[in-house]
Amino acid sequence: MDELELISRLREEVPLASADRAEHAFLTSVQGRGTWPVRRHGLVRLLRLRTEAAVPLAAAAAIRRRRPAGIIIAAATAAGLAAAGLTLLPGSSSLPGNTSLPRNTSLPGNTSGASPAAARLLAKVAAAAAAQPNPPVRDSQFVYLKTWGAGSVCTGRPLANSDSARVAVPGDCVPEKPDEVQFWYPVSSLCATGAFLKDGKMTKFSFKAASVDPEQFPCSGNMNYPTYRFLQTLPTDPHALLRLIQHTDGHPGLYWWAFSTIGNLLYNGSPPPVTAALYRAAALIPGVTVVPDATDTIGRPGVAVAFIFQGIRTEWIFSKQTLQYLGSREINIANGALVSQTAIQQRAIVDHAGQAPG
Amino acid sequence: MGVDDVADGWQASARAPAEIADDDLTVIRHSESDPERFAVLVRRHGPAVGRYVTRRIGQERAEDVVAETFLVAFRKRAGYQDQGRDCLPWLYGIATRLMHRERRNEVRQLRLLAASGTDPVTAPFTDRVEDAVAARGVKRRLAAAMAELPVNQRDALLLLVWAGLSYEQIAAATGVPLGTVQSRISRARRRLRQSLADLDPAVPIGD
Repeated sequence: MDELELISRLREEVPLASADRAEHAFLTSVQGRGTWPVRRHGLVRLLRLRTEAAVPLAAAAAIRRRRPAGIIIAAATAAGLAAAGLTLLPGSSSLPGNTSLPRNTSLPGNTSGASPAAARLLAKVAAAAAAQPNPPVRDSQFVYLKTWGAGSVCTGRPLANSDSARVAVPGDCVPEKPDEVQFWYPVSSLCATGAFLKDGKMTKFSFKAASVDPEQFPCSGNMNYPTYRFLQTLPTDPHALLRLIQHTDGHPGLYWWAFSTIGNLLYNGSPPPVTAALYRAAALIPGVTVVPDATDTIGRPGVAVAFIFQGIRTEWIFSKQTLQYLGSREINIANGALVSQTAIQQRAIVDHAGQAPG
Repeated sequence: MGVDDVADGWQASARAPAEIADDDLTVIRHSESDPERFAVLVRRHGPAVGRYVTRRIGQERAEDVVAETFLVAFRKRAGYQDQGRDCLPWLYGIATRLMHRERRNEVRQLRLLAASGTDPVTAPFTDRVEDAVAARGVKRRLAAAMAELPVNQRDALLLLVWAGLSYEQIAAATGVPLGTVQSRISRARRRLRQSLADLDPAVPIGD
């Protein structure tokens, strides 16, 4: 065996990187800020690139260039942290606030799961979700979401430990003012035309128009860009569901990945039996804990389940009265700073894009 | 406030048969007037560029370098002309230059592998390292030798072996004459052979 062949075998177990993550990291860095959870709103980001034309895009890139390395990531939301590739894998012991670096290739069979209090809360939340009405939905209808969200602009320095300088970046984060955005997502197809209303301006969108690769983003939706119809096809057995989520593009062994994927699916609003299964699946994830008091973006008090990853605590907040999902937020556990937040104020199925629910 | 009435064109395109994918050069030209099209290239080449960069400097630092590689490419896309319809070698070249600032990190990890037999770069992707002792010995020698290579030689060698570029593509991607690429690679190979010579009689010293 000659030396070139030996080199070709060195580190050959390093896999191809994820196209999704590369794209999201690129879009995040080009945009310069992430107001919305990137994976869910990747669509909207692509559309912003389109609707706001070339000048802001170049300007955003220029702004990004002026910032110190590492800081930019902090301006993305925590979902963005995952998408932008901050996922740090086991073996890095220099992570702050990371009590257990989770990696387990047989996660659904794991018997430990969430903390007992979190498992109890998730069971109640799941029961409340399962009791919601589940009327039939037509292909021509739209999922209506009235949402609030904000990221934050961080001026903090990277950690002193230079080898992990990008990790746990947020130092002094100033939350941005939350934006209200209303969305109309087509029930059955990413390629049909949806719309969002922001600052009084209605913008149409369609995945087709965003010129993304149709093989990676089928019109019927996928785990990262789900349609309501796609969500209806998910299994309602929590173990099966969690297995499926784990095998979504990403880091199948990472508990954080499972938690954040479920968080994205919850945000979208799925049929009640699937929503309940998502909560029950989350209860199987080790490291999920309860935060007794959490307030969402628009000031509604609640109780949350949380997962800490890379110094950021991601919370899903539920109403204490109704146990309905209110929203999520990400907090830097080093200083308590809010890194990002989203809230769902209203969710409905409507007949037309642009139509407010009755 | 309905928008359905203006959506016909898009829905028509949604039903159209899948287009044959544009080559890179075409995508780049289109992206000048339609910037978000550049994301097509990120999806197309991000996996390979990400793997190459990760293999050299480890996952933790790779994400930054890859994102910046595409940003640099995006900014310079108007200047992309004659390098070919496949822009992957161009991207490898950008990534390679950006990795120069990670040189110490790259060398540190190679030395760690040389010293301990455990590779920090592959650790996240391997559940348990159960190399044969002999294989690990070769790996450690190889890593030690690679750590000592001048960075230009290491660049040329790894663009050849890990990125799979031809000598001509390496010359274009790194902006050096073909003869220089040939000389760098042959020097690097000679050093590696020397460092491995006593381990494996099948690897002769010299050309």
